[in-house]
Amino acid sequence: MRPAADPPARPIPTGRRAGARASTNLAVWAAGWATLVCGGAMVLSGLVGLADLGPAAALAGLGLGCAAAGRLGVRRARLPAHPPPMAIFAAACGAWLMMIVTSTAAYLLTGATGSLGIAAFESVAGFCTTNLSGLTGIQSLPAAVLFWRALTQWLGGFAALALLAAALPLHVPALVLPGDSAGVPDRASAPPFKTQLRRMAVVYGTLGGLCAASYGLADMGALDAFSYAFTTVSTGGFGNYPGGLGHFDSTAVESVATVFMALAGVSATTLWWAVRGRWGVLWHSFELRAYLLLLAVGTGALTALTWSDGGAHALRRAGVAVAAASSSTGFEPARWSGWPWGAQALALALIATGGMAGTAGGGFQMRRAIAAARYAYRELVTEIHPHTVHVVKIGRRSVAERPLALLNGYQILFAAAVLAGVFGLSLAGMDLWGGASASISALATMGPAPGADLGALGGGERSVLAVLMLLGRLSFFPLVVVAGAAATGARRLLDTERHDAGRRS
Amino acid sequence: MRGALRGVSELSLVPRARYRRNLPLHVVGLALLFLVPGMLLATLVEWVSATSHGERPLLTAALITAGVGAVLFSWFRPPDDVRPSDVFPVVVWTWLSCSLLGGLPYVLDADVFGWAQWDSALFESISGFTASGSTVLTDIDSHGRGMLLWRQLTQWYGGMGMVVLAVSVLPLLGVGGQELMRAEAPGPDSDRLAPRISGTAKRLWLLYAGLTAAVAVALFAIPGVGLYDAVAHALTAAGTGGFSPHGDSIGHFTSLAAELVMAAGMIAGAMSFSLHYRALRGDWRAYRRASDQMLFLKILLAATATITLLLWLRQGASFGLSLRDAFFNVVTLATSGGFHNIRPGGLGDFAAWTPPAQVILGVLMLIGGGAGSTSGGMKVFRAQISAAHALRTVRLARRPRSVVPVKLGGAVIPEHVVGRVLGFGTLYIMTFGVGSLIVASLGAEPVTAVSGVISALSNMGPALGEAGPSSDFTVFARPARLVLAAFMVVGRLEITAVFLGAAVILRHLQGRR
Repeated sequence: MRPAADPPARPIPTGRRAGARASTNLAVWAAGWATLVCGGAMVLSGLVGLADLGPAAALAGLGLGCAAAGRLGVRRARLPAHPPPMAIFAAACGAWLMMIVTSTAAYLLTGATGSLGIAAFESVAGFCTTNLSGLTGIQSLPAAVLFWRALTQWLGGFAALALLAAALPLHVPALVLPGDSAGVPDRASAPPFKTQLRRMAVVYGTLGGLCAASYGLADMGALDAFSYAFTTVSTGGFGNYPGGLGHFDSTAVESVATVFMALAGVSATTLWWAVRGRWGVLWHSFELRAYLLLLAVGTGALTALTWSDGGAHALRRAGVAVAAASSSTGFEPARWSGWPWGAQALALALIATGGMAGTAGGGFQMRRAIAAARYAYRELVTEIHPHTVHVVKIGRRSVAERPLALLNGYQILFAAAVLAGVFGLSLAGMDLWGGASASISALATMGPAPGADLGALGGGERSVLAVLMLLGRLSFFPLVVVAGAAATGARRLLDTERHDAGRRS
Repeated sequence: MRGALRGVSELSLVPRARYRRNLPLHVVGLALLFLVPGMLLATLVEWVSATSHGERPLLTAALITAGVGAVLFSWFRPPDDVRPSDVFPVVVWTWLSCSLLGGLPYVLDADVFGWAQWDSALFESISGFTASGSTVLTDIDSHGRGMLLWRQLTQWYGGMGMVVLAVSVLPLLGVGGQELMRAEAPGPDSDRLAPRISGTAKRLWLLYAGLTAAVAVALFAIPGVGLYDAVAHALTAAGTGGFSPHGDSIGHFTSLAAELVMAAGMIAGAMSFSLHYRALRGDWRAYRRASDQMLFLKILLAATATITLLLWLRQGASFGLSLRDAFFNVVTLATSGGFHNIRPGGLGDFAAWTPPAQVILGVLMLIGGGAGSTSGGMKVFRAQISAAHALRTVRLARRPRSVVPVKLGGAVIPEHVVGRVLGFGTLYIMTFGVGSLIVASLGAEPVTAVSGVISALSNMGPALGEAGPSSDFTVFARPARLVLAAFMVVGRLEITAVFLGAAVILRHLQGRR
C-alpha cells in the first residue's frame, strides 16, 4: 500500500474548497487501494477454488476488473501533503464503501445469493469483522466463495488497523493506540503512518500464518485452516460450516482458537515489541495486565455460573466463550440460550468491553474503559477537594484533557447507538433482550448475541445491524463526521440554489 | 507547663477527628425525631380505623425511634464548621438510619413482614424513603390503614429529603447546610430561596407540603375518592414516590380525572421547586428561562405522541385509549412516579406493550425529571449536557484545534460542570452495568434484571419484564432485593454522595482524617 506520509512537499491546503479537494483526493486514493487489494484477493480466491470453475472464474474475472479500476483510481488521485482530519475520515469511508461494493458484486456474480440486500449485508459483516450472515447453506458454497468470505474479514481487520495508524496523529478515536505499551508516549513522538502500518502488517501476517499452521496441526484441511485463521486473527468469526467451532468437535481446534483469539485481543503494537524481544513492555503495560485479568476473572466467573454442566466441560466452554467475547471474535462456542441468565449477561458485558485498544477487535475496549473509570474517580475526588489538580493516568502515562473529552464523547455516542439500535431492532420485530443483546454485539463487531436469534434476519433487522456494525468498526467518528459534512454540503447546495432561484425570479 | 497540660488534656478529651464524627450522629438523631410525628399519626389512624389491625407495632416503633433519635441528637454535639468531606457521611448515615428505623413497624407487625422477613421490611422501607415505589408487600389492601399510611408517609419524607428537613432547623450548621443539601440532591439548582440556608430548606418543605395539600384537595373533589385515599395518594404524588394503599394503584379508581390529577401532581413534583417558588412570587417566565425544564415537558409530549401512535397502530387499541394510557404511563415513568393504572379494558400494563414503546419507557426512566425536583433518574440537564458534549466531540474530531464550548439554553457551561456531569454519567453507566450483572447472576431474567436496576437507580418503582406494574419485586430472589435496595439509596443520593460517603467512612474507620 502506498504510504500517505511520503508525499512531495506542497503547501498546506487552506479554505473550504482546498479541504474538500484534499478530502476527495484522499478518498479516491483510499477507495482505489481498497478496490485494488480486493481485486487481488478475489483473483487469489478464484485460484484457490478452481475445482468449481464457474464461480472461480467469475470471481477471478471480477477481481481483475476491480484491480484495474483500483489502480486507475490510485494513479489519478493527487495526495495532499497534509491531509486534514476530514480527508482521513473521507478516505476511511471511501475505502469501506468500495470494499463493500466490490464484495457485494462478488457474491451476486458467483451466485452465492441472488438478493442484493443479503449480499450487501454479508459484505458489511465481512469487512466489519462481524459474524453475522444472511447466507443460507454455507457448507455447500463453492470453495472460492468461502475463501473470499474469510478474506473479507482478514482484509477488514487489517483495514481497521490501518485506520488506527492513520488516525493516531489526530487523537481522534481517543486513546486508540496504547502509547505506554508501545513505548510511544504521545503523538509527537509516535512513529509515522508508514512505520506503524509496517509493524501492524508484520504482526498481523505472522499471527495469521502461525494460526493457520496451528489449525493445520489440529487436523484441519488446508482450506479450512486458512479460512479459520483469517477469521480468527481478524476477530471476525466467519466459518465454513454452520455451528461455528462446534462443527469440529475437537479440543485441539478449540484450544488453538482460544489462544489466537486471546492474542488477537492484544494490541498489535504490544505484540510488535514482544516480537522484538522487549518483554519489559509487556510487563509494564497496565492495559495488558487488565486485559489478562479480565480474561481470567471472566473465565472463572463463567465457569462458576455454568458449573452445573460439569466442571471440565464448563471450564473449556467458558475459556472459548471468554476469549471470543473479549476479543469480539464471533465464534459461538455453544448455544447461549441454554446458559443461565447471569452467564448470558456476563458474556454480553465482556462483548461490550472488548479487548485492548490497537487491535482489529471491537467493543468499548479496555483502554477506554480504564480511562473512563479513572476519569470518574478524578471527578469524585474533585467533589471533596475542589482545588486539587488531578491527572488521569493509564499505567505510568498521563492522559491529556483533549483525548479525555473525546473519550467521553465516544462513550455517549456508544450508549446512544446502543439505545437507537435496540429501538430500531424492536421496531423490526425483535424482543427487548434480543434487541439489546444484538445491538451491543453488532456495535462491538462480535456478531452472535446471547438471547438473540440472528439466524433468519429480516430486511429491517439487517439494515439496523449493518449501520451498527459500520459505526462500531469505524469507531463512530469517520462515519458521523462524513455524514454531517455531507448533510451540511447538501444544505449549502440547496441554499445556493434557492438563492439563485430568488435572484432569477 | 500548666497551659501545656491543659492543651494535652483538651486534645485527648476532644480530638478533632472524633469531634467531626459527631456530626452524622447529631443529624441522624434529628432526622429520626422527625419521623416520630409521622409514626404517631399513623398510629392514630390505625387506632381510629374501623378495620384496625392493632396500633401497637406503630406505637412501639415510634417510641424506639424517638428514644434513639433523642439520645443521638442530645449526646453528640456537632462541630462549629463543616468541611466538604464531612457532609457525605452525614447524608449516607441519615438515609440508612431512617430506612432502618422506618422499617421497624413492618418487622414488629407479624401480619406485614415480621422478623423472619427483615430483609423485605428493609426493602420496603428503603423503597419508601428513596421514593422509589418498588414493593414486596403482597395483598396490599388487606393491611391496616395506619400501617399503609406510614408506608405512604415514608415516601413523603423521602421525596424532599431527610437532610433538607434537618437543615431547615439546624442553623448551627451554617455554611455546611448548603453543602449538605447539595450532597443530598446535587445539581445546578442550588438557588437560595432565602438569605439563610435554613430559610431555603423551610421554604422548600412548605412548597412541598402545599403541593401535597393541593393534590389531596383535587383528588378529594373527584367522586369516588375518599379523604384517606386522597391524602394517601397526594403524599406519594408530590414526592414522585409511587406507593398506593391499593394493589391496583390508580387503576383502583377507574377515573380519568384521578389519573389527570395524579399526573399533574407528578409533573409538578418532577420540576424544580425553586421555579415553583418563583412562579408563586409572580415570576411565571422563570419556567421558560429554564431550558431543562422546558425540554422535560417537550420530552413528555414527544414520548406520549410516539407511544400513542405505537399503541394505536401496533396493538390495535382505540386512539383515545392509547392516548390516555400512553400519557399517564409516560408521566409516571418520566417523573419516576411509579404509579400504574391497570384496569379492566385498559392498557395500563406497560410491560405488555409493544417492545419499541418499552424502549422509550426505558429511556424515560433513565433520564428522569428536572433538576431541583423530587424525581429520580439522571436528570434532564445532565442528558442535555451529555448530548451537547457528544456533538462537540464530533466537531472536535473534524477540527481538532477548535475551541467549542458546551452551551445550555444559550449559556456557556463551565468546563468543571461538564466534567462533573460526564463523570457522573460514567459512574452511572458503570453502576448500572455492575448492578445488572449481579442481579442477573442471582437468577433474574435479563430484561427484568436490567430494568429492575434502572428502576432502582432512578427510584422508579415498577420495572419491565416480570417485574412490571401487574407484578411486584417478589419476582427477584431475596439477595437480589437487597442489592436493588442498595441501588435505590445510590440512585436517590445520585451516586456521588454514596461513593464519597463510603470513602470518607472507610477513611474514618482506618483512623485517617
